[in-house]
Amino acid sequence: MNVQEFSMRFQRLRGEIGRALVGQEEIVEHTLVAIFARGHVLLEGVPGLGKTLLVRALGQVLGCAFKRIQFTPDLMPSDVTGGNVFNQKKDAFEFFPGPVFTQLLLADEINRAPAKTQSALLEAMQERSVTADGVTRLLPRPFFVIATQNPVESQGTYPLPEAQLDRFLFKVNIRHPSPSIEKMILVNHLRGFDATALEQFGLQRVVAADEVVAMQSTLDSVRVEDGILDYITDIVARTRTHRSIYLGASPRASIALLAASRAQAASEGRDFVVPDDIKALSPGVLRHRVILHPDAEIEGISPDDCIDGILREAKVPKTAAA
Amino acid sequence: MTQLLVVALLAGPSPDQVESAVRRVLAKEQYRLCHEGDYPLAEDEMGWCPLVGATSSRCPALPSACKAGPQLASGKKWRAVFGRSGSGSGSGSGSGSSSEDEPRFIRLPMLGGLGQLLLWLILGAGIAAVVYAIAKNFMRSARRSDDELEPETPDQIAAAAKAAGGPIETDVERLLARARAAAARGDYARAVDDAYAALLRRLDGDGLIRIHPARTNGDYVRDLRERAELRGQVRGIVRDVERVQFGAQTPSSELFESVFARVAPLAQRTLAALALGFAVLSVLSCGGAAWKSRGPWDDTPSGRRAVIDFLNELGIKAQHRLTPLDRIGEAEGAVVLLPGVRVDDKLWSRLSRWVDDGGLLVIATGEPRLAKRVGLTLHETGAAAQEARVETKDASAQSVVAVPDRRWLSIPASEADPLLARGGSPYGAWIEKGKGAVMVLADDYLFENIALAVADDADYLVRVLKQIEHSVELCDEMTGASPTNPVTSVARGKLAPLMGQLLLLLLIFFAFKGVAFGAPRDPRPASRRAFVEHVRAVGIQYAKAHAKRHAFTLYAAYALDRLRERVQLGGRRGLSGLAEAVAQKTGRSETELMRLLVEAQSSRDVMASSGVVSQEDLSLLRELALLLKETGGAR
Repeated sequence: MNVQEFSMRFQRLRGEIGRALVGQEEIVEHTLVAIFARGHVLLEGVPGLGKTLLVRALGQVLGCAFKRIQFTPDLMPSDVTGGNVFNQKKDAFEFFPGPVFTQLLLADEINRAPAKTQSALLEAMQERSVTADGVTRLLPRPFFVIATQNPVESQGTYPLPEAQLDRFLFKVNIRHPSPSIEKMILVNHLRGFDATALEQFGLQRVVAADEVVAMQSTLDSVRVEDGILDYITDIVARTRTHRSIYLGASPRASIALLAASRAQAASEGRDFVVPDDIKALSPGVLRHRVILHPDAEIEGISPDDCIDGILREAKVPKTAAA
Repeated sequence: MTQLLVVALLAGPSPDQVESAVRRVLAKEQYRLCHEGDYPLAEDEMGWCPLVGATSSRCPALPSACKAGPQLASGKKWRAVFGRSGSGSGSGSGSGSSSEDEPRFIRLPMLGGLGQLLLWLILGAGIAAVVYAIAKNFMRSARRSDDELEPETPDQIAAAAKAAGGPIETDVERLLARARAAAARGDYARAVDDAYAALLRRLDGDGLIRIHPARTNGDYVRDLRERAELRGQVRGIVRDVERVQFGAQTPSSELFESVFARVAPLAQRTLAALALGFAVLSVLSCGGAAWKSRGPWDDTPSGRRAVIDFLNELGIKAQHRLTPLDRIGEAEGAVVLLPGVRVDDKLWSRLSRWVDDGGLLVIATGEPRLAKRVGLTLHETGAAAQEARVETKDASAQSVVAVPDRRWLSIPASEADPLLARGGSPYGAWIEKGKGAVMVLADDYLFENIALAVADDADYLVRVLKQIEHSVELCDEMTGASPTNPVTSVARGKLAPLMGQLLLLLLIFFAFKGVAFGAPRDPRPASRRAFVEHVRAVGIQYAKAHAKRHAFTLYAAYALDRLRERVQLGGRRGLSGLAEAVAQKTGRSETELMRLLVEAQSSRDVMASSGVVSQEDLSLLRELALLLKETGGAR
C-alpha cells in the first residue's frame, strides 16, 4: 500500500465517522492518526460530548473487535487483564482473558479506578501483551486503547500517574460544540440517528483489521528529513527548560511526535513530513507529558499555553525567514 | 456667438427658479454673512452695502452687518475669518482691536546667567548621553561580531559560515534574480528556495502574511484564508517547494520553471499594486485637479463657494481649477480668470487657441494687462458706488445687474460688443474669436458670494453661463499652484528640514541595521510573589495529593514546637506545663489552653486514612494560629 492509497482510505474513514460524530473533525483526525501511528488516545471532556460514540463508531468502521471497561474504584487489575482460575474438572489453572484482549478497547472514565488498576494497562499499552503468573500473552493486532476522563469531577478520582499518561500518544480535549454544530446534531437525531444502534444508521465498515495493520506499516515509508528531527528535538527540549514547566517531556514524547507526524503526512497523501505536521500535532502529543510549576498553575497557565509559546519560538527548518 | 448669447439670456432658467436656488444656497449655515447680524465685513466688501438696501429677503442678516460698518481691513480679512471659524466663536472677535492684529509669539521666560548655564548643561548632557549610547552600541556590536566570528580552525570557519548562511536577503527583486542565477548555474534546490522566499517576502511586504522563523508554510497559507484565490495559488507552490525541501523529489529545471512561473506574476502583481498606490499617493500629495471649496474663507462675502453651489444647483457644473491652465484640454466649457491667476505669453497663446476651438474665456481679473490683450482698456473709477446700477444693452433681457463701482472698460471701435454698461461706461464686453468667445468684465464682483444677494446678479450670471454645456472652471492664484511632483510638494510645504532629519534618522537606523538600539534584555521579571501565594500553592498541591490531613498535622506539630520555644517552661514538662506557661504569658484560661494543646497533640497521632479535614480541625487550626500570634507573631 502506498501513501496515496493510505490517504484515500484515511479520508473515507474520517468521512464515515464524521457522519455519526458531527462537528468534531479535528478529534476524529487526531484519533485516527494515533491509531495508525500505533498509539493510544486519552480523551478528556465533560460527559455528553460523544466520546463513547466516537469509539463505537471507530470500532464499526475499522472492523475491529471492540470492548469497553467502565473503570470504577473497586475495579481490580485482573478485571482488566484476566487471570488464572482453577478448573476443578481439569485439575489445573486456566487463564480467562480479560476485556483487554480485544483490538479496540474503550477505558471509560479511567481515572475512577485506583492507580494499581490503571497500571494494569501499562504493559498492554506499551508491550501489547499481558503477563499473568509469569506467562506473557500477546494481544491481538491491531490493539489500541481509547481512554476517557472527566476533567470536572475530581472527588473520588485517581489522577493518572505520569508513567501511565506517557503511554498515551495523544491527549485530546473535547469541547462543547458550537450552536450551529449542535443544531446539526439535533437534525441528525430527528432523522433517526441512534447512538446506540450504529448498525441501523448504516455506518459502513471501511477497512478490515488486517488492513489497519497494513496501513500502519505504510508509515514506515514516509520520509523524515534531518531538519524535521532537529525541529522535533528542539520543541521537546524546550519543554525541559521552559520557565513554567517543572518536568518536561520525555524522549518517548519525541518518538510519539515523530510517529504521529508520519501518520499525519500520509493522511494528506504526502510521503514526507513537513514542519506543519509537527506543529499541528505538538499540543496533543505534549500537553499531558509536562508538569507545570505550582506558580504557573496559580497564574492560570495551562500546558497548552506553554506549548503554544514554545511553538512560537522554535525555529522551523528551511524557513525563508532565517 | 452673440446671437447665441442673446438666446441664452432669453432661454435660461426662469427668475423663480433662480430666486429659489439663491435662497437655498444662502440659507446654508456656512454662509454666516446671511445669518449673523454682527458678521464682520471688510473694507472692500462695504462697497456692496449701498446695493443691498435696508432689508434683504435672500440674505436677512446682511443689512445689519452693513450697518455695523467695516470691522476688518481688507488685507486681514482671510486670517480673521479663518481664525473665527476655527475657534467656533460666533461673533465679536473681529472688532478691529489692535491687539488682535498683532502677531503673537511664544516667548521663553528670561533666564539669568545661572539659568542659562543650567539650560546649556542640560542640553549638553542630553547630547552627550545620546552620543555615548550610540558609541557604546557601536563598540558592543563590534565586540560581539569579533566574538562570534573568531573561529580558530578552517573547519570552524567553514562551519561558522555555513551556520551563518550570510545575511538574510529580504529584497524581492534580488531574491528573484538570485533564483534565476542559481538556476542558471544548475543549483535548482537553491533556486526554488529563493523563488519561494521572494514570494513570501512579497506577501509579507503587502501585509498579507507575517514572516517569522517559527512559522511554517502552513501558517503562511492559513494567513491567506481571506483571499481564497491567492491562497490556492500559494498552496500549490508550497506543495511543490516542500516536495523538494522535505521530500525525496530531486529539484530540476522543469520544477524550478514551474515554481518560478507561478511566483513571478504574484510578485509582479503586488509590485504593480504598489506602483499604483505610490502613483495615487503622489497625485494626492500634488493636489487634485479641481476643488469645490478651498477652505472656510471661501464662505465669506468675497469667497466663491456660494457662487459655485448656486451654479451647481441650476445644473451648471462649476468648480475651482487647480490643474495648470497650460494643460487645458479640448474646447469644452468656460474658464473664468479671476484675480491672482498667472497668465504669461505662452499661456495666453494656449488660451487663445483654446478659444478659437470653441471655448468661452471669461476675463474677470480686474487687471489692465489681460484686458489689453483683447484690445480693451481698464480704468479705475475711484469713487465707490456712485453709479451702482448696470443695465444690459439688450433691452429684451430684463436683468438689472448691480455691483460696486470700481472699474470700467473703454472699448475701441473693434469687434468687441459692449455687454454691460454702468451709465455710459461699459462694464463688460463680448468678443467673438474663432468658434468661441471672450467675455471681459471690469472686475470679479459678479463671482463673489455676496453678489447672489444683490439685484439680478445671480440671474444674469446663470444666463451667461447656462449656454455652456460643460463645466465652468474658476481660475485664481491657486490654479497651477499645486506642485507637479513630490519634490516640489515637499519644497513648497517647507518640509525639507523635516524630511532631512527623517533621512538622517533613517541613515542612523540603517547604520545599526540588525542591531538593537540598546542592549537586548529579558522582559522584566514579575515582582516577588507574596508569601500567601506560596502558601496557597503548597496548599493546592497538598489538596491535589489528597494530603489535607497530613498538612493539618504538620501545622499542629509546628505550632506546638513554636509555643515551646516562645514561653519559659522553667522545668515544667508535658502539655500541662506548656499550658501553664502559655497561660502565664497570654492571660488565657489554663483549662482552655490545655484542651487546645491536647487536641493539637492528638491530631499528630491520628493518621486518618480518609484524608478528610473536618470543620473541627479547621477551628483548631485557626485557634492555634491565633495563639501563635499572641505569643510572638505568626512565624
